[in-house]
Amino acid sequence: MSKAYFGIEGLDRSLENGVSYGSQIAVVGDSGIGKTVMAGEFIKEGLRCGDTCIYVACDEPPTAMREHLQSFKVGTPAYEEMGRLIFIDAYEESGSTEKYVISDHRHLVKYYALEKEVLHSYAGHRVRLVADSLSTLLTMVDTAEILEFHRTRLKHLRKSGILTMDIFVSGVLDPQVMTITGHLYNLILKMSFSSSRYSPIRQLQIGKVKSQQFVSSRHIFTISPIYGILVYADMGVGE
Amino acid sequence: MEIDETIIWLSEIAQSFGAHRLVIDSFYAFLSRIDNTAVLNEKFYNLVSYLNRLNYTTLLLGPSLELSGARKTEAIHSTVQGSILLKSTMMQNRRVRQLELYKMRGVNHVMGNHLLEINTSGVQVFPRLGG
Amino acid sequence: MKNSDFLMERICRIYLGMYKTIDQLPFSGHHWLEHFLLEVVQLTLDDHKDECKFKSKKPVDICRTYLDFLNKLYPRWVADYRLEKSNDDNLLFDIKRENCSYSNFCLQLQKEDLPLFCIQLGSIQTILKIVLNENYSHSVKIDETGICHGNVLPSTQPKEEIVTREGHTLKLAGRKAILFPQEMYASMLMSIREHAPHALKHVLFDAGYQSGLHTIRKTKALYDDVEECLRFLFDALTNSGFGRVELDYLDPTIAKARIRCHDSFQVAVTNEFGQLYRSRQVICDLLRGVFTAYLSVLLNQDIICEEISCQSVGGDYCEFLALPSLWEKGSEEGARG
Repeated sequence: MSKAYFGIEGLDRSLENGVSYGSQIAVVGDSGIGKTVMAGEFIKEGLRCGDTCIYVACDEPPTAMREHLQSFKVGTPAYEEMGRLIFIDAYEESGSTEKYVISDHRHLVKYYALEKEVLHSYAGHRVRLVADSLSTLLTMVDTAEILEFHRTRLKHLRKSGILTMDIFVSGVLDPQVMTITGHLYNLILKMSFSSSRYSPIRQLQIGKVKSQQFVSSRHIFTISPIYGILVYADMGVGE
Repeated sequence: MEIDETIIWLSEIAQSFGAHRLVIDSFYAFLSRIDNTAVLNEKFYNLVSYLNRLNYTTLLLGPSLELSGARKTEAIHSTVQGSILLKSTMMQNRRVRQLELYKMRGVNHVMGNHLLEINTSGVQVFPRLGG
Repeated sequence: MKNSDFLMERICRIYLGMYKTIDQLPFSGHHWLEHFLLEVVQLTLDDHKDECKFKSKKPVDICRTYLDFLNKLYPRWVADYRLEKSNDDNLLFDIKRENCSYSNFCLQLQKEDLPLFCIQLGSIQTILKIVLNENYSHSVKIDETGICHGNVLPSTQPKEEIVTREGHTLKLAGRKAILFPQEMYASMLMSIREHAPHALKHVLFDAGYQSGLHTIRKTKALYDDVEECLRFLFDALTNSGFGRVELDYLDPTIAKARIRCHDSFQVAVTNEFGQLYRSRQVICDLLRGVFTAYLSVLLNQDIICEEISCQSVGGDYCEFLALPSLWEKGSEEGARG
C-alpha cells in the first residue's frame, strides 16, 4: 500500500518513506505554535492524494478550518460536495448546523460511537482522521477512562487502516497520562517555542517510540501565510 | 382474577393476534400481591415456563429490583434468560441514564454500565469502552 | 475550357487546399484564412493605389467602393450582388452562387461537409479591417434557389490563438510570444521543485490564475452568455495545447461548474520527465488556477476550483469542480496553533 506524507517538505524529507495508512500520529504542542496549521497541511495533502479527510473540530467551529483551508486556495466546497472532506463538530454543544455533531462532551463513548459511525460510512476509502484537539475532549474525564478510550479507539483505528492525527495541547493533560498515551502512537511530533534572545523560535521534534525509547530529531520551522508550515530540514538544532 | 388466570387470559389474547413478542408492563403488579417467597418463586417460574411453551419472546418490565427487596431479585434473575438493569446516576452534577446487561444466558456480553440516552430516535445505547 | 476558367478553378483549389490544411495547424482555425485574405486584399490595393479611393467611412460605402473596384479590374468578378445595411448595423450581402467567382470552392466545401467559409465575405470583412481598423466577422447561408445570404458584423470574438511572425518577433494575438518545447517547460518545473519544492503547486496555481485573469478580463466584454464565453476560452486552451478542455456542466445560478481536460499537457510532461511531488496526487494546478480566474470573473463572485480527478493518478481525464468560495477576502486569520 502506498505511503502517506504530511505535505510539508522538510518534514516529509525527514520521514524518508512516509507513514503507513493505519498509523497514528500524536501532535503535541504549545498553544499558538501552529498545531491547527499542521492539521491543515495534513488535510490538504490528503485531499490532493485522493484521501477522504475527516476533521474533528474541538477547539473552534468547523468553519474555522474551512476558512483556514480556503485561505490556502483549497476548494473545501468541492471536496465536501464530493464527500471527501467531512467535519465533525465537537465544539458547539447545541445549535450546530453540521451534519455530524457531538452534543455532549462529557461522555467519550458518545464521541467514539460517532467517530466509528462516520468511519464506517467511509469504509473502503483511504481515510485520514484529524482530532483537533483531542486533549480538549479529555479534560472532563478521569485518567482510567482516558486510557481505556485511547486503547480501544487507537486499536480500532489501526485495524481499520485509518491514518490518524490526534492533536494535544501541551499541559492540558496530566504528564503521566501523556507519557502512557504517547506509547500508543507510531509517531510523535512535538511543537514548541524555544527561547531566543530576540524572538521565540518554533521548533518541531519528530519522534518515534522504538524499544521503549523516544528517538527524535529537532527542526526549526516557520509559518507562512502562503505556503503554510516551512520546516528547515537541514537546520537541525541538535538533539 | 387469580394470577394464573390472568396469565392465561393475556396469553389467549396475544395468541389471537398471532403475536411473537409480548411485553408485560409491569410484571411487578402481579407479584407484589405475593408475600410468601416460595409462592412467589413458583408463580414466577410458572409464568416464565408458560410463556416459553408458547414460544413468545417476552419483555418483563418492572421497577428497580434492588428497591423491591433482594429475595425477589434472586428468583427473577435466575429464572429469566436475560436481565437488563436500567439505572439513573449523578455524574458531574448531571443525571445520567445507564444500562447494565446483568445477565444474558449463553452470550458473552460486555459487562458494566453503558450510557443510555432517550432521544427523538428512541433509545440509544453507547457501549462502554474497553474489553 | 477557357484559360481564365482554368485559372479560377486552380485558385479555388488552392483555397480549398489551404482551408483543409489550416485545420491541422495549431493557432489557426479559420482565422489563418482571414489573415491570408488580409495580405491578398492589401497587395491588391497596393498594386492599384490610385484606382480605389475610399471617400466615405461608412462600412456599406467602403464595401461598395471595393466591390466596384474589383468589378472594374475584372468585369463581373462579383456580379449582380445586393448589399445593404441592416437595422442593427450589420451588412447584408446577397449573391447568386453561380455568379460568384469562388463557387467552385464553396461547392466543394459542401460536398466534403466542411464548415462554410465565404471568400467574398472574407474579403469584405478584410477591407473593413484595412480601412476602419476594426474587426469584423461573417456568416453565410445558402437557400434552395442557390442564393447566398451573407451577414458581415462587427466581430465579438477575439482571435487569441493567431500566432504571427513579424521579422524575428513571434506574436500571439498581437502580443510578443515565445514557443518552447515541453523539455523547457519541464525543466522550469523541475528547477522549481529542486529549489523551492514547497512553492511549486502555489506557483502553478497562481501563474494560471493571473494569466487567466488577464485573458478573461479581455474576453468577458465580448460575450453576454457565460457558457458561450467559457466554451470559447476552452477552445482557445485546447488550441494552445493544454489538452482537450470541455465544459461538462454549468449552472450559473448556483455558480457551479464541472470541467474536464483530456490528455492534459501537464500530465504528459510529468509522465515523461518525472513526478513533481513525493506522493501520487493531482497535479494540474496551472489549469485549476486558470479556471478559478475565468469563473470568478464570469460569475462575479469568488469561485474556487478543485481538481477532483487527474489522469496522473489513473483517471480517464482530469476533472475540475468549481463552487463558490465560503471565505470572504479580508477575513484571513493568522496562523493558529
